Amino acid sequence: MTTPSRLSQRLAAPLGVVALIAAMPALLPNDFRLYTAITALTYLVIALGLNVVMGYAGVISLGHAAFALIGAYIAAAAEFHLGWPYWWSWIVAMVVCALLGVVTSAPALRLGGFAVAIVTIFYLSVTTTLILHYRSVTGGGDGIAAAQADLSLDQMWWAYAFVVAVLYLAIRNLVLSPVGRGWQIGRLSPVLAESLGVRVSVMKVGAFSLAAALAGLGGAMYPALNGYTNTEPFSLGMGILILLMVVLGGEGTLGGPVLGALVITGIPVILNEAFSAGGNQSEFVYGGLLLAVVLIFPRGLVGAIKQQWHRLSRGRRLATTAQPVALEEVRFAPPDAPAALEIRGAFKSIGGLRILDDVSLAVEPGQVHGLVGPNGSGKTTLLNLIGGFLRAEGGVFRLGGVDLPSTASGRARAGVSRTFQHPILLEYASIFDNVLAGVDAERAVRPLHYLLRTGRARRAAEEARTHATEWLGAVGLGAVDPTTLAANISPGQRRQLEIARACASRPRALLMDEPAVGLSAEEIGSLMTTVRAAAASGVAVVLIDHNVDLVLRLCDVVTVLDAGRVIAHGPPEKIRTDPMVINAYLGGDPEVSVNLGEVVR
Amino acid sequence: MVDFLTAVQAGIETGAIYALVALGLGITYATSNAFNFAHGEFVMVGAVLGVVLWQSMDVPVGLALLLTVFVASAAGAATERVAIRPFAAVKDAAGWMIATLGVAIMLTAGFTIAITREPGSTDTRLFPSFLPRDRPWIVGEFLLNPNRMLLVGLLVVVAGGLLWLTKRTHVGRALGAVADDREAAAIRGIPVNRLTMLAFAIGAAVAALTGFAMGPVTQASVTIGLGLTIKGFVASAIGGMGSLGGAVVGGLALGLTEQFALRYLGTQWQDLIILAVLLVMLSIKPEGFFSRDVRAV
Amino acid sequence: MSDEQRAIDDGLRIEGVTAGYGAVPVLEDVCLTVPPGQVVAVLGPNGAGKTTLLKTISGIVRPRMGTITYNRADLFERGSSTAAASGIAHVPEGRRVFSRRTVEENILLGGWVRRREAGLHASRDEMLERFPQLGARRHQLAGSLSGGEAQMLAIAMALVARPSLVMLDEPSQGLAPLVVDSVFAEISELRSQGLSVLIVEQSASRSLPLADVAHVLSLGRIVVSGPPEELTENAEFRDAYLGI
Repeated sequence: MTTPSRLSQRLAAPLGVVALIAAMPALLPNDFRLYTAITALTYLVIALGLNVVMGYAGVISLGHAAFALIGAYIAAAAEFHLGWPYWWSWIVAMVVCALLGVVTSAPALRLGGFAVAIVTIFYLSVTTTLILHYRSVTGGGDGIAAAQADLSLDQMWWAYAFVVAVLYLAIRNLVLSPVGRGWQIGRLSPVLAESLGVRVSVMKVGAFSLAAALAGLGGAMYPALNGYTNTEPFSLGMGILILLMVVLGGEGTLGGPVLGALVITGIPVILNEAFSAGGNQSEFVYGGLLLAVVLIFPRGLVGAIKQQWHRLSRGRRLATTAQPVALEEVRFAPPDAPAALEIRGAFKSIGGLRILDDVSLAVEPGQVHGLVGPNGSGKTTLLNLIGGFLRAEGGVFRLGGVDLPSTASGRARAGVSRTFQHPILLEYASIFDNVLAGVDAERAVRPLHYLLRTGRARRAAEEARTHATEWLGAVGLGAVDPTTLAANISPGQRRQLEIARACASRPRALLMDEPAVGLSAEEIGSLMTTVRAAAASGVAVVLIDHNVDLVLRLCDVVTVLDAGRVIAHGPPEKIRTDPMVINAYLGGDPEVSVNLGEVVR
Repeated sequence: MVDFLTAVQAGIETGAIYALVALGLGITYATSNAFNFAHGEFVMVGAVLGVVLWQSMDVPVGLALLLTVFVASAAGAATERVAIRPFAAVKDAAGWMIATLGVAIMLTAGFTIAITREPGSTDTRLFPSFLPRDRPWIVGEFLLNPNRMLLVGLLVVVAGGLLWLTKRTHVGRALGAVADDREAAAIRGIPVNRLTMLAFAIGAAVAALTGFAMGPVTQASVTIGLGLTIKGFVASAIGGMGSLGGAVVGGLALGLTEQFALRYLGTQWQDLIILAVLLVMLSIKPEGFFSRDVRAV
Repeated sequence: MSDEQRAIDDGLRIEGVTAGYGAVPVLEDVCLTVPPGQVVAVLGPNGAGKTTLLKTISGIVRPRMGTITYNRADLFERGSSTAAASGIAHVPEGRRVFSRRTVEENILLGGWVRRREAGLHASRDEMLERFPQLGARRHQLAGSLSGGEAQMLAIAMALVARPSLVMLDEPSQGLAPLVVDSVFAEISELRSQGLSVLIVEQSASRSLPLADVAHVLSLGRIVVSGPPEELTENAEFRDAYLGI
């Protein structure tokens, strides 16, 4: 129950913003300043979209002005040729640009990084050329003289500010939902995203398309304000300006574009007092700012502020080592339908080299199955095949008697989860958010609900939060402050956190790649308890590790690989004394292997 | 037929420029795994600084060229140090992309401010020919303009020079090693950071040389930078990122494509054709035609 | 200083070195020596820090604390490591040859520290003779070599620099047993030529017979050291090596 003081605390910021928006026309000295501010709002709309695609989906689009250009012409042409009111054409512009975004992102996104940036620049020049070419509709170089919206400047400010506020809230809802987490994880590590069942390419296309829609809206807001449009304002320069807003403010942060827009709009105002002609001086400063920001404040101004705040707040202190987890206390939520994992006759060659040859493996629900073998025996490759991260050339992969889908994200959705040799975590997110990412994999709610923050979305979020807390407790992190950043916990805790995330989706099979790397003896104890708890809940666990002793103590069954083939299989006691195993690991000098063989009792 | 061959000639002449840009871009990309957005600006510097020194400040043409190339090399090395190296450790491309974009913008804006200071001056300066003969030779139906021929000749010289460098000198070999596997090079005692900076200096020098030679053909305009960087990228995409032969082939192919699109379809469709070519290349063979990716058999 | 004392101080001395990549150090307070002409083995599981140790000596990783001296000269005196120039050659894990250069070029590149010497090309030819499989493939791209051939190339690249200490990181990794035999035969050769050898391995069986001293590295610390004969009888060693 929120107390009155808590409530007023939460409402303070939004109310302040509303008051500021309402008072703005009175605060600004003249019409020109107000006009500049409204123009800045249209840029902000585009920046909000660019922030999503850049900061969250990790795609740098330089020619984004192309979509703004299209939006502007749709609005102007609709008003001029068809007499539509602007708000209709705004919606049409958003829809058209969203669709165009889907179409244009498909070829571009496969390229990644620099190539995408260049391709988007081409989009802008091609769009501009096409618009200039079809004179009858677009008026060619003269543009379209559509009517200005029938509002006073003050009213226009309030209307546009309202639109921006709604967009900000909608994006905030998305970012704080599984959709937003999916973006962040996809940007951090596509492999991790796939392992959590996120279809990275679909996600990126979605982000791009959203950004395109917002750019279209921002562009469509131009003719309503100015009473005409042509191709000039929508240049590469505009794209770079908006990029700068996002980067300076802080890409991947919610407040970033807003702060960035404020600062960028302010610069020419300040400069105009100092220099006679705006243009090139501002450009020079913008270039310098881009360079400076990315060198000094890589996460922008908002990011830098957040970092300082975290330094001062509680989250900074390194969390103490969690108490070893006692087995009786731990209960893992079981999967819906525990199933056996079955691999038969797996084949894999890479570049002509046979890595795996006719390998078979069977894991019952509740079993911990160890996979060992010397370096180069193919263990990790096998794990990747089971997870769907590599394509097998032959072999059957089944879970619960049903063939597994071919993609990693498909297998993740079918109930195959994994951990990595070095835990891949969202370092600047809290441990709570990191576990939440695993709970998300249970997603059943459509993104639209999150966007609009419907009752269903809120209930799902509440449930997710409860589960996340439970999972943190189940792996022994219950005593740690959930807002602690993942970057600040110990290696053992990172491993436990990763396991919590992997199990939070209640998988039917769990693949673990060398989970004991870098852990102290005590931390290994906690690890073993956690793995046992996962198995006890009905999960089929496959575990690779070089720590032979750990494997022999933890696993119910062990399969030994050597040079891509299975050379031994059975309970740990049998494997300990198997001469073939001893030879494979220690093979070479007979005297030495005899001595060590005696030890491996 | 004559039309066709004229188009081919124009394609080769323009393509030579793109190939030269791609060569410079390729050296820097190969050693740093980063595309320098500011590369085209070094070409611009070659033209603009060159003509300012030569025409406005009456520096003898040879010395002007030398100074320009020197300044550009220094700028190239500085770009590596400031805009590329800090991001070498991070996997995210955003860092160096935005940083080099910032450098590019600063260079364009800076030079624009510098040469438009006098009232009435524009962003383009006239660049007279510096060759002993500047009237074209007439061979049958074809016009051979010495300034354009110079560019083709420059391509041959530069490509040859770079080939000699990488095959016959220790430094060149070491640059190739850095491009191949940076850490492996460092392990063998090769100074990878200094060599990368050298690669950027060489790339910028080639760019400036190109800009100076281009001057009489295109005049010295401060706005050519970004466009050339993009053309260089497309040429690399066609021919193979970071490959010498690829840069030459890609540049020529791009030049030919552009000229043919121009002659038979008109100016407005140029960019669309190039975009289509780019998308096709990047989809079917992202590493370009000449990439030699050898794996152990 | 007596001759004996000088001999003790010569060679590679690592004292109290702490090093790592990010916030968490991978090596903690490591002390180790490789006296001239001796073979030292460092054993340990994945993640123990063995590769980081060699990378620190070569200067890829900067030590945060401690000193590394070679023949009484501090390797890090001028900031980055002078290991290669001081005569320490590194054969990295996974070979790491330059796959897009020819075998010949690779050997020349291995000799970078001698690039100003007139004899470098002659040394290259020597290497091609000493390793006939490489000689037969001198103009082939290194990326087309088999695992064993690439390992020989990596060793040749180290030897052409005329080092006094050769460091090998898991030379047997990913190679068939017969090939491993020839690799280790080559390593014995090195020792008989008076070179010091520092070998880092996951599997004890191959390296222990060659070594004068062995250390076990676990979680960034040296936990047990001694001559091989003593170690295999030592319960601590067994626990440390097998059950970490």
